[in-house]
Formats: sequence, C-alpha cells, structure tokens
Amino acid sequence: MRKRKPLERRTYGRRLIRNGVLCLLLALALWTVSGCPLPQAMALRRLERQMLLKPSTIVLETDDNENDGYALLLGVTEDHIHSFALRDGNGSLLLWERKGEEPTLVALPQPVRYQTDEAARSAPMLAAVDIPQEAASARLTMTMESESIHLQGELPEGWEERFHWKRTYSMDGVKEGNVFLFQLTYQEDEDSQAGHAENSHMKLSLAEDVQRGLIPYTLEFFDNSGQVILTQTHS
Amino acid sequence: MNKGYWLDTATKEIRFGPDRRRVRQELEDHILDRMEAAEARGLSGYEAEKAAVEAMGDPEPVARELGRLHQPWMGYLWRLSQVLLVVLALCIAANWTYFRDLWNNGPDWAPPEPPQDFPYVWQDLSLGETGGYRFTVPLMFWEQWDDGTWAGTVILQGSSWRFWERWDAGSILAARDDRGISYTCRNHSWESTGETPRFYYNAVQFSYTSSTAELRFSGIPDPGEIQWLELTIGDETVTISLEGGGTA
Repeated sequence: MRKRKPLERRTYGRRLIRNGVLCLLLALALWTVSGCPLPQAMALRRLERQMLLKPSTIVLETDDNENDGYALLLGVTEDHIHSFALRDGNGSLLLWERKGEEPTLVALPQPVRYQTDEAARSAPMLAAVDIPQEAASARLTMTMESESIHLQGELPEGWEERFHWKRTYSMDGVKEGNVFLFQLTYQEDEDSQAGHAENSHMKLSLAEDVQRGLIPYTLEFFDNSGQVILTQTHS
Repeated sequence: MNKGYWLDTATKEIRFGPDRRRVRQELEDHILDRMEAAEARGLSGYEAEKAAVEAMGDPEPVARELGRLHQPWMGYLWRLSQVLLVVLALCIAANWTYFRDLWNNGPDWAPPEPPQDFPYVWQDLSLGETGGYRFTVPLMFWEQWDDGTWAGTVILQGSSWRFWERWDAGSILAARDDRGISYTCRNHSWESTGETPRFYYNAVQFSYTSSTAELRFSGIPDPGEIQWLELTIGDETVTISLEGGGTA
C-alpha cells in the first residue's frame, strides 16, 4: 500500500485575512513614508484641521497641470482667507485676515507660469477677494523696493542695482468668479543683475511683504462703462 | 482509458491551478493504491492500471462535481494577495533608506533643561483638548538676563493619535497676556504692541504624533506680573495659567 500524504483541507479564508492584514500594514508604512498623501479635497481639509482653522468655502481653484503640478486654491471663512498650494496630496497654506466688506489682496503661495514671446516663466500671482459685485475689470499698481542694506565702502559694479532696487508694476486683473487675479510679470532680463534681484524679491519675499502690509499698492475696480467704482490704496 | 487521461478529464473543471494539481495528486494516489492491490492479486501492470481506472468510474460526472466544489475565486484572491504582498515588500525594500532615516531621526527631541534653583518653573501643564489636539506645556520657565530683565520660555506641545495630521505648530497666530499686551505673528515673525517685550518662535519640532513649539519672550521686568498667557492657534485659543509655579 502506498503511503499517502495526510488529507489536507485547503481553505483560503484564514490565509486571505492574514495576507490582507499584512498588505494593509505594509501599505500604511509606505503611505506614511510618502508623507501621508490624500486626495486634493481631503488634503485641503486636513491642512485646515492641522492649523485649527474652520473649513473654508473655495472661491478659486487653478488647474494643476499648468503650474508644475501645484493646484492653487483660495478659500474664505468669516474671518480669514486661506490660500492653498497642493501637490501630490500634500501642500501648504497661507492665512490672511479678511478685511470684511472691503476687498482683500492676497498672494497665492506658489509662483504661477506665464508665457512671454521668448519663453515660459513663473512669477507670483495676486488675487483680490471680496470684490464689488458690479466690478467688470480691475487694475493693480504696486511698488516693490528691496530692503536697504548698509554696506561699508563702495559697492562693486552692478551691485548697486542689486541692492537698491525699486520697480512699479501695473497689472490688469482677470476675473475668475468673484475673484480678480493679477499675474506679476518680470520687467528685467533674467540674466541681468536687476533680473536676479527682481526674481529673488518676487519669489522669496512678496507673499510675506504683502501679508505684513509692507508693499504700497493701489487697487482700482471699474464697471462695464470703464468708470472707477472703488479705489483701495495701501501706503 | 489510461490513468493520465482519466485524471486530466476528472480535474479539468477545477480552474484554480494549485487546487487542480492537489486534487489530481490525491486522485492519483487512489488509483496507485488500487493498482498496487491489483498487482498483488497477480495482474500485469497494464491490466492493473486498466482495472484501477475502471473502478474509479466515469470521469465526466466526477469533473462536474469537483468543479462545483472548487470555486476558483477564493484561490484567485489568495494568489492576488500574495502578489500584492511581494510588490509591497519590494516597494518597502526600494524605500528602505527612508524608513531607516525615519527610525534614526525619530522623536529624539527633548525640551531644554530648566535653569536650576529658579523660582519660576512650571512643568507638565495640561491645557485640555482644542480642535482635536491635546495641548500640554511640558515645560515653562523664566530666566533672568544680565540686564536684570526676565525672559520666558514656553514649550507648547499639541498631540493627536492621528499621525497623518499632526498639529501645525506654525499656526500660532497671536498671543496676549493679562497685562493687555498683545503679540501678532506673521510668517513666524512676531510683532508686539509695545517696544518690549519681544516674543518669537525659537524652534518648532515634531515627533510621530505630536508637534512642539518653543516660544520665547523677553524684556519682562518682573515675571510675577504675568498671570496668564492666551495663545490664538488658528481659530481657537488656549490659555496658559502661570499661577503656582514651583522650583524644578
């Protein structure tokens, strides 16, 4: 008589549960090490919860394909305006105090791409929230100036331009729902000293300077006939 | 009908390969047992195989019954779970340096040592739960500077078991004390209503489930003047009572 192997009743339930639990644990570890990414809507609410903020109503959402994968969003609550930059399920949030009935000028947290005749460049975008209902167009004029730096002796050639730099920008707004968007564009050649100063100033300190009220600006709103209906000046 | 053909026909309806091979092996053992018995009765190898296969009966009804008993879906799911496990294990191996760094750079931050023999030290103050986070002050202390003024250090910790949404320690927007002096924060830079005191973040650290902010304010003539400090965190407030401090 052949020696038979003992009959083994093969059931998959227990093995499936064991493998499922192991898969969940490994997937959780991978998700954690990837920075716990979430879908855009959930990531946005998570950022608000992490900062102990009330959930905001989204008033603007940009296309992430046009902006290095970043989706830029603006949300409003009773007291604040939240400007989000979300990419790959994670992001950052800048908080702005809402002026109430008056329009509030905010900066989006990431530079936005725009096309020149020669190339694509990216620069900060500003937005006016709580705009007058009848506003058909808007213009923003702002002056940016580099902080004064005190140096001993004479500056090398070209450095004067770098350290003492002042430009006035005038931008026509693009209306998106109840928000006007203002795209800053560079005035200088990007390879010049002035271009470097402009680039670093725009990208590094613009949002903070606007937030701290350090940049003088004039925001004008026009109706359909081109008449000024509101002018907001910050000096 | 030979043994191989009978076995192939009887197991053809079992669609999940590992099940089919196992059942085939089991049936083959039965046939071999019968063949051994037949050979013991004096039959030749060919006759013994023929007799054993005939004794097993028609393979078609056996195939239908076995096919009904061995549904393939659980087997497919089990195989899928194995593939998933291997893929995930490979992903973990590919990201091993991240895991190692996460482990090595774990929650090794410790609050600064309080100055010894100073009368104003508070430890392990619980501030309760706000916005889904449990806030505590593991340590707060005053230290006197050379100019005679005092500087306060507050270690504020926000904890939650939700490791995927740790408290953002950069969300402290403002502070005020019971003397009416308020401090506002814009991008981690603090401004107070008066010339002094100054108030600022010194450091922000986090562990897997908590974030810690180290807040410092200086230029206080007498620490006994301040009874409480109220912090605005996002849309919420937490109050730190500074009464009843003791020596560390």
